[in-house]
Amino acid sequence: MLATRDVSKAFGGLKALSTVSVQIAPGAITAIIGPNGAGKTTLMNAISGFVAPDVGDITVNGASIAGRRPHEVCRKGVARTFQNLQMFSEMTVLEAVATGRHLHRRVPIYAELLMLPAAWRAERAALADARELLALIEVGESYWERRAGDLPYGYQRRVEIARALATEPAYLLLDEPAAGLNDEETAALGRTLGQLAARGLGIALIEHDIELVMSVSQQVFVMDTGAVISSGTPDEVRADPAVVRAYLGDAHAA
Amino acid sequence: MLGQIVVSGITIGAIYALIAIGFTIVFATNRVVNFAHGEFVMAGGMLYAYFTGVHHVPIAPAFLLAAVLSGVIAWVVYQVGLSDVDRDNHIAQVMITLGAGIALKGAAQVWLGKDTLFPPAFSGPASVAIGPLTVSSQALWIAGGLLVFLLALQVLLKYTKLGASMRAVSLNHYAATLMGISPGRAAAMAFVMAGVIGGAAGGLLAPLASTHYDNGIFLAIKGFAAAIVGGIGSPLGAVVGGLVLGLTESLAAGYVSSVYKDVVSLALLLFVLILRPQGLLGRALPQKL
Repeated sequence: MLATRDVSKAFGGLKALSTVSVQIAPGAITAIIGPNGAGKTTLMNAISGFVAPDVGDITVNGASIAGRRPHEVCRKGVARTFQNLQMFSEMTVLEAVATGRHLHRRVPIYAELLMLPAAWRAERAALADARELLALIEVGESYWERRAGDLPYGYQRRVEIARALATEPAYLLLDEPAAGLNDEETAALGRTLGQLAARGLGIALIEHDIELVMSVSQQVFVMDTGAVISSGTPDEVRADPAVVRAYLGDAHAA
Repeated sequence: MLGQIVVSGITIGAIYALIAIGFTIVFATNRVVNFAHGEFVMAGGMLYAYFTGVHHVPIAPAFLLAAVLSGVIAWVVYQVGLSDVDRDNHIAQVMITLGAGIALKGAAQVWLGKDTLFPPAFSGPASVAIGPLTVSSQALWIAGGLLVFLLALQVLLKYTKLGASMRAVSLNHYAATLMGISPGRAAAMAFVMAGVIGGAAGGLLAPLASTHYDNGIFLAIKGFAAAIVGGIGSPLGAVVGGLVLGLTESLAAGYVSSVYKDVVSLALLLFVLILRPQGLLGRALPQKL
């Protein structure tokens, strides 16, 4: 279980998160939804170590990761993607995904600097792993040697997910993975996420595409102005008047 | 005459290129201009002269030891001075590298002396004739050294895990940390490489141009100019920039006057900055997040 307990974070006078507790279960898709400015991305930044929570704790399977730096959080098995693409655009697709393997293909530093065979083998093995992941995430072989930044947008999104998976995470945080995708691509993304969850991966999904959220997730947390205002199964959340109020304003909540 | 001018231009250009490579790899992974870099070059030359002159160490081990020790010095500068500084605090980083440079210069003055040293050349005959040209044998070592380091660096960056992680940090520091890559480790390794290559440049240059505790800053300015001309962040650009700068200086000294060689080379720098701010081989810097 990846969990936050009463996490709060203020930026100056702005309370971005107030006592937020969410749980992301392994082998399931947990959606975090809410209007713009609700604190969803801040929550994700807190979990992945880009901002340190003021108070509260964040745990992975019981071990605290609150306040750890991003590369340390990654090593605890939590990977993420960003709302806007963060690609290694000058690398080939294969190389970009292989960077995620480096964590698990360690070589002593002297072997790296002297370019001993072990260093070459590690990089070749990382590239082989990357091929498998790209096949899994359905990025065709014809794209592998192309410059990552030149791929169509939808493919870059997939490459980012493959790259995140390369770190062998137990939990994967996706920040609006369907943004900018067409209907067909969104449906394919939904299927891929379902398959990944079925393999035991815990997925946290921040998403504005409500249809996608309702169709793939088992658990939904709704945030508004920095706090969790509702949680439950997709159907429970949909029926919650507090959610309707947050999204549509008071007049519609009846 | 032109042939001889070109030979000396390539020789000094190769030294500038080796120095520029150090600026470039540190900048690529740290986004910091390392003003202590000239002192790594100075240290390489002074240590080579010290080992051969004072301790009578044979040439090859003395040179290797000088280069490796420069790498160690660079690593210490990073670990002590920069590893805990906020990555975006450029003013602090620049001041720290300036301070480290002054400290290194002082240490060299105290421990290695104030004399100008003339360490031995790497191999026997002072010069060889290549067709109509006379080339000093040390110049051939310098050119060879540049080729070896450039090739090794390109292979390391392209085919090893460390190289890939350094490129990842350079291209997108944000995303690299999410791959579990420690930006600090990549930065430290960049310093080590810059130190070794810079130290080697100092050792290679010393037999030809002598060495002195105070010549680091002069070498740093030339190497930095070469890195900018070529496009900072690109190792190949550093080499192109170094050779262009060296040839320009040499032509200016040969056909105009050696008094004007610095004027001409720095005018070249201005010219490139106006026409092509990212340098000859540079790509436009990625936007800040």
